[in-house]
Amino acid sequence: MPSSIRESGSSSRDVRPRGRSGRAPFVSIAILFFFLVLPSLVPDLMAPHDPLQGVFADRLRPPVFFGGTWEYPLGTDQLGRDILSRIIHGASVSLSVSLTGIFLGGLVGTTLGMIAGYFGGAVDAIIMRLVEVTMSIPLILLGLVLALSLGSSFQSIIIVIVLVLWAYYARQIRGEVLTIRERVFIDRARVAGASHLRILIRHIFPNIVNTLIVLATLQVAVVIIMEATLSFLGLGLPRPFPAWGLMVADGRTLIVRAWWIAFFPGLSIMLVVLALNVLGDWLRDRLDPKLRQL
Amino acid sequence: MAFLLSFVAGSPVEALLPADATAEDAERLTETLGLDEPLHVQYARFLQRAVRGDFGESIKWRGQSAMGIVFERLPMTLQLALTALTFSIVVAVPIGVLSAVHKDGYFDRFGKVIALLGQSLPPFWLGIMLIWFLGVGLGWLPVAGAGSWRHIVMPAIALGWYQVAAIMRLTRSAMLDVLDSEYIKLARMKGVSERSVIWKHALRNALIVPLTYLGIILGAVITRTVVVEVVFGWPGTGTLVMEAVLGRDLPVVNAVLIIFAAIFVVANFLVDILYAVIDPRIRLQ
Repeated sequence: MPSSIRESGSSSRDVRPRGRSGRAPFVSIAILFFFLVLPSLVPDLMAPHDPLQGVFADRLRPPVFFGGTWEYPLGTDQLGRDILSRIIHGASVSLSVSLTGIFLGGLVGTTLGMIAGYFGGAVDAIIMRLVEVTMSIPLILLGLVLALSLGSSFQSIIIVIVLVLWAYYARQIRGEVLTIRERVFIDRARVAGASHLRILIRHIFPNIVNTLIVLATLQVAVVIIMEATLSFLGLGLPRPFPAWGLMVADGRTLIVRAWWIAFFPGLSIMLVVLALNVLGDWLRDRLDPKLRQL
Repeated sequence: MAFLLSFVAGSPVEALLPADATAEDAERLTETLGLDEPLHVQYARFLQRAVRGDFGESIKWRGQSAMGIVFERLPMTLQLALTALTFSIVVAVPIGVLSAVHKDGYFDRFGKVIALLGQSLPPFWLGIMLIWFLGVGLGWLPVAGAGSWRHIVMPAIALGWYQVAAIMRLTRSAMLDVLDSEYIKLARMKGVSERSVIWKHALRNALIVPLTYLGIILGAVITRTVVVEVVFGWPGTGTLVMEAVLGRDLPVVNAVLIIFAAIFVVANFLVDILYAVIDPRIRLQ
């Protein structure tokens, strides 16, 4: 899936729009910390109830301010499980899936992108064809087929995400390596007797780290939506795991009687993704103005 | 590729047989389906048929060809996707143009908020929330199914909203570039009205960028179509492929895959043609 689209900065009046690259987006960082990172690290400290074990007598309780009590601030689902606790535990699903997927996808994509850009020729042609093929496969079909063959598990989601993500890294990194390769210090390293591997790791890689950081931040948002979509369709982690997408799916049929079951997990996805997009925009402006065309 | 997938997806034999079938039964079925032959023979036969669009009989819907079922459902999906894209363009392009013209004004800021919100809303959740507000709460629109124009409104919005953000941002930045160029200054000097400069001279050239984008994101749009179809119970290929996968109906899954791939190719071709229509310079090359 393409990462979100950015405005190009090539217009002379639009080199540095005010207010965008200035102050760090503290609100976004705070949202990410309290909604994503902290609940993933210490879910048991934050969650008031057990996310998997509900109290049947307390099922379908509305949220506080909507006729509910502080006992269950965001209400309970059809099995009497506390929505807030499930959202808190679900954060670690989103975070671990996206971090693992992005790390592995980035690793594969960067390696192949560097190889393609550095060596060129037939290797480049083959890798770039693979990139095109990958980009043309709808994520959903890949997800469906893999979830069927491997069963829905943490590993199969990660495989789907890696298979989708690597192409975006490979394409971007290859482009950058193509220009870095022509720079003088690479020739000098060659003359000094450095091997190809050494040049790739010591001389080229440090020059693409910024790009990688920006790309990865923007991709976390994309991957969280991907994971939620797969979970929603029942292709993600199996029930009763409290994945946000799965919770929305559970609440879908009860939307009339208990809107809060689907509403709050979706709201969490939206807030976290929104914060990640804002943070990614800011990082891109700070670290790597070249990427504004992304 | 579809052939590879059919191997990854697990043997249809397992899915077809009842749980208490013996190994002997399995062998017999394998033979009937021709699955016992060497891979390259199977592949050759698969290709031969695929070229003719023949993926065999559906496993789940007995007696119907896989391709036939897909073609039956395809118009519904195309209808939904095109309506959604039209919605995205009709909403996004004017906002993008106005954002560029009134850069840094209130309108521009409003546009930025829309863009950020659009990129952060998971389509399936937006769909459910629409059902809740417009369908159940206000009772304006039917919550699921297809039939009248009223059925298509909510799925189209749920599907189109995500693209609104991207198309808007792209239109805005392309317009900013174009409005800065020499021929726009010339047009203004010639005394062409401001409205004509913006909506005719400039927009025509600025549209190239969002158009390219539409070609690129098509794969992602297909993914979202499947999700939105499932949410709204829209009887298109999206719900079909979900049912087929759950029933391990490989011929149908393969047929859908090929059709999606074909749509992808055709749409990119159409985008290329549209370039030429919009920008005569491309036509000359």
